[in-house]
Amino acid sequence: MRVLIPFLAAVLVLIGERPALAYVDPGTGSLLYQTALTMVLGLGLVFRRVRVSIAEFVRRLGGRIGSDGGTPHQH
Amino acid sequence: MLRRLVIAAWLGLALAALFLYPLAVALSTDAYYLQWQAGDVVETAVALAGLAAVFGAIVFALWYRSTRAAHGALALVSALPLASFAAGVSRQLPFQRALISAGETVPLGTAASGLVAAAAIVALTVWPAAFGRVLRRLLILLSPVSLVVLATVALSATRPHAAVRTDAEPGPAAARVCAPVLALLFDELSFYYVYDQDDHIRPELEALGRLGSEATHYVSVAAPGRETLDALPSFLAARRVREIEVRPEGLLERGAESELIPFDAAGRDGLYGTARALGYTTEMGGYYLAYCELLGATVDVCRSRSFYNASSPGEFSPLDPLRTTLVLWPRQAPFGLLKHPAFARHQREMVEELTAFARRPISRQPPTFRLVHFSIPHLPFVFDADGYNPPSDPLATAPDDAYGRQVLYVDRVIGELLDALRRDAVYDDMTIVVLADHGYRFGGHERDPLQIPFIVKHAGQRERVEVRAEQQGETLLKDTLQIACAAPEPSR
Repeated sequence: MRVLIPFLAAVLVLIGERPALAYVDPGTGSLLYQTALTMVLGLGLVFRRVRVSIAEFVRRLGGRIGSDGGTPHQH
Repeated sequence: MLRRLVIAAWLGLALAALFLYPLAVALSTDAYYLQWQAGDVVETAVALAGLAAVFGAIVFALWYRSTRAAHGALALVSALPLASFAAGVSRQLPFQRALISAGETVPLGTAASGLVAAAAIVALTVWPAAFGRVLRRLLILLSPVSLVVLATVALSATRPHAAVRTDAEPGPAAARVCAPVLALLFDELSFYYVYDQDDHIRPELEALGRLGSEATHYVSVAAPGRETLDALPSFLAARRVREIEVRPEGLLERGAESELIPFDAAGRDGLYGTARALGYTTEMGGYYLAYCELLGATVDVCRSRSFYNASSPGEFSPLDPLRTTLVLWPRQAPFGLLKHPAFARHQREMVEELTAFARRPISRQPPTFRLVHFSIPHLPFVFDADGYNPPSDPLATAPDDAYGRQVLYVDRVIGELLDALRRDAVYDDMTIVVLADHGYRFGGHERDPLQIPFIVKHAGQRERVEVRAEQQGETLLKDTLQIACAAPEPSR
C-alpha cells in the first residue's frame, strides 16, 4: 500500500499528459481525470491504511526537503 | 453526535453531486449546447443544496443502523445518484459508442440492469452485514466527486453566458414597402412525408393542403446540410456552410483550405443582414443553437432555447437542473425510464414557447421578418394530431409511426397559426414560408433526406404554382425575402 498511492498518482499524471499542455485543463473534457483523482482521495477516506500511507508519504517528502538544507521558502 | 452530523452532511452533498454529475460533464465538455445562464447557476446551486439536505437527512437516519431494512433503504436511496454518476462517466469513456450500441440491444440493457439488481437483492438477503459495509465504503469512496461537481458549477458562473433573449426597439418605418414574412422551419420535416408521389400534399395534412392550394411549391430544393448543425447556419448566412464545429467559445466553420474560422451569421449578405437592409424588423425564435448570440445586432427580437437544458430563461425553478440531468442521461434501459418523461416534457415546453413566439403580432410597417425554428417533427416524438400524447419510448425511430404522428401535429400547428393570421386580417398581405432543414434520417419511407419541402405563399397569391427547377434552400429563403419587397404594395 505504501507504493500504491505514488504509483496511482504517477499513472494518472501520465494518462492525463498532453503534448501542448502541462496541466489538466478543466474545460477540455478532463472531468474524468479529476473524478479519478478525487476517487484516490476517496480511497484514503475508506481505508485507514491508505490514510496512514499518504501521511507517511507526505512526511517522508517533507523530511527529504528538509535534509537538503532548508524549506522551499528559504530558496 | 457531531461526527454523525458531519457524515450525514458530507454524504448528503455527495449523493446530490453524484446525481448532478451528468450536468457537470455537459458543462465541462458541451457548454455551448446548454446555452448556460447565470440563472441556471443559481438554480443548480439551490437544487444541489436542497438535494443535499434531503439525502443528508436520510443518511443521518440510516447510516448507523445495521438492520437489513436500513441497508436496503440506503441502497434504494443511493441507486438514483449512483446510476446518474454511472451515466455521466459513460459519456466520457473512449468506448462510449460501443456502450451505446450494446445498450441499443434492449434485451442486453435490460438483462444487465436486472442482473445488477438481482445481485444486490441476493447479497442483501444472504450477507446483509457485508452488503451494508460494501455499500457504505462505496459511497465514501465516491464522496469526493462532489468537489468536482461543485468546482464545475462554480466555474460555469465565471464564463461568459450566451444571449438567449433580445428585445430591441423597432426601427423607423422603411422607405421601401415589403410584405411581412413569416418563415416556419420545422426540424427534420421530410419531403416524402409531406408530399405524395405526384408531388401533391398528402390528404391527411389538411392545413398544409389548404395553404398549398394558394402557394408556390418548390419541389426540387436541396437541404444545405444533412444535419441541423450545418443546415441552420447555412440558412442564416444565406450560403452553403461546409461544416460547423462547436467550441466552448462559439461556432467555427470549415474553410476552403479545411482551416477552421469563426462562423459569422451577422454579415451584410446573410439572411438577417439582408432583411435589415430591406427595412424589416427582424425576429428569430428557435431551439438548439444560440441564435441571439449568432445574429447579434442584426436581430431585433430573439428567443433561443437549448435542446438539452430544460431551464426556461427568465423563470426560476430548482427542479430544472434535475430535469436537465435526466435529459442528459442515456436513452438506453434502464436510464430511459426516467429520461423519457423529462425529455418529453421539455419538448412540449419548447414547442409551446416557439408557437407562442410565432403567434406574436405581425407588423406591416416596418414589416416583420420572423423565422421560427421548431423542434418538431424531430424527436422526441410526443405529439399526435390530438396534441401532447407521449408514448413510452418517445425516442424510438423505427418503425416510423411516432414520427408520422408528429408530422400530423406539425400540420395542426401550421393550421392554428394560419387561422390566427386570418383572424388578424394579415394573412393575405404577408408571405408565409414552410420549410425544413433536412429530411427524416432514420429510414421509414424517406427517399432522400437532402430534399426538403419548401412552400411559399406570397402576399396576395391565390393560385397553386409548382416550380421544378433545382434550388438551394439557403439561397431560396433569402430570395423569398427579396421577392417580398418586389411584390405589389399590400392592401390596407
